[in-house]
Amino acid sequence: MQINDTLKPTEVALLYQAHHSWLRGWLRNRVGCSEHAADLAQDTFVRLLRARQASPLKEPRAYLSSIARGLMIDQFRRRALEHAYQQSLAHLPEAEVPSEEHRLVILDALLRLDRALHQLKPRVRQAFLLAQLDGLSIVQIAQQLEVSRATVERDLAKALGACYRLRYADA
Amino acid sequence: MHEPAPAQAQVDQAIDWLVKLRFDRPSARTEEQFQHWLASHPHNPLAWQRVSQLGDELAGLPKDLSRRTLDGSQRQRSSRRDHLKLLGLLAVGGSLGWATREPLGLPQLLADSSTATGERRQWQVSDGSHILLNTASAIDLHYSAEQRQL
Repeated sequence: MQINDTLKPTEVALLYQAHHSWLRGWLRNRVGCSEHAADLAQDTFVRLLRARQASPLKEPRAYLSSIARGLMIDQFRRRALEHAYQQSLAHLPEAEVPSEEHRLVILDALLRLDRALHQLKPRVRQAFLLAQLDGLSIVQIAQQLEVSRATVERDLAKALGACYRLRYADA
Repeated sequence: MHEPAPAQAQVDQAIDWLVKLRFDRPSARTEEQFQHWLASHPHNPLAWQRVSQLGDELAGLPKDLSRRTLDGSQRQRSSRRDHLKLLGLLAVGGSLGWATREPLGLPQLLADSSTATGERRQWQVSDGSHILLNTASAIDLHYSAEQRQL
């Protein structure tokens, strides 16, 4: 990443002074907890420091609240996935339950996969999961989804492309 | 990062090869073409290394556990969305008994106004109408001169 396509730290500091307490209030109205709101407000400014945005902001509050909204959604998705993960682990026979460390590695990978798949059309998501997790062949997937073989290949490539971008985004 | 990232074109090609080699039964000819591709550009090996590593990581996920988790998470989220649709119809002036398990769900987080569990709020909006937001509800307001959307 190049330095010059992000906002200058001094600019971010000014934005922080001008809008931080407003943002905290905005978040508090939504999450209903002032500590949680304060954390999210901090995270929003951290995100702003790394955001690709070279020119000064014209509508700083709209921009800040859209970052904050994204963070809230990420958190919500994360909670939903973690919850589903705990439930699924509870269904596993004891012998198949992974070790503590491995559990976290898997969770991390699933969080990323979930985020990647979320950006995709439902059919693409479905095709990818049928291939990757259910072990169906391309021909079988094409039959099941009633599309052509070439479409399934394209869908799989699209899904892998989304996974790739998240996997290597901030390496 | 120590090594420069491979260009998008190389990554896209590597992904196409991954699809052919991992999700299909590749013929000997396909394998041969793949080797040819690999040697045809100095950046192809790096692109392939990254893409195939991603493929290995995905293949290493426990299948049943992953499937259940992803589907379960999706179900939870879409049931929240159904609540949200319901709210869109019933929020104003209704007595809505929607209780979330967590203090605030996604609908409230994203709405213009929302109430926590046990909280009710009533106010007058700019067109003169009154809104009563019941406990644990959320509402989005969109106005124009001709119509308003809640």
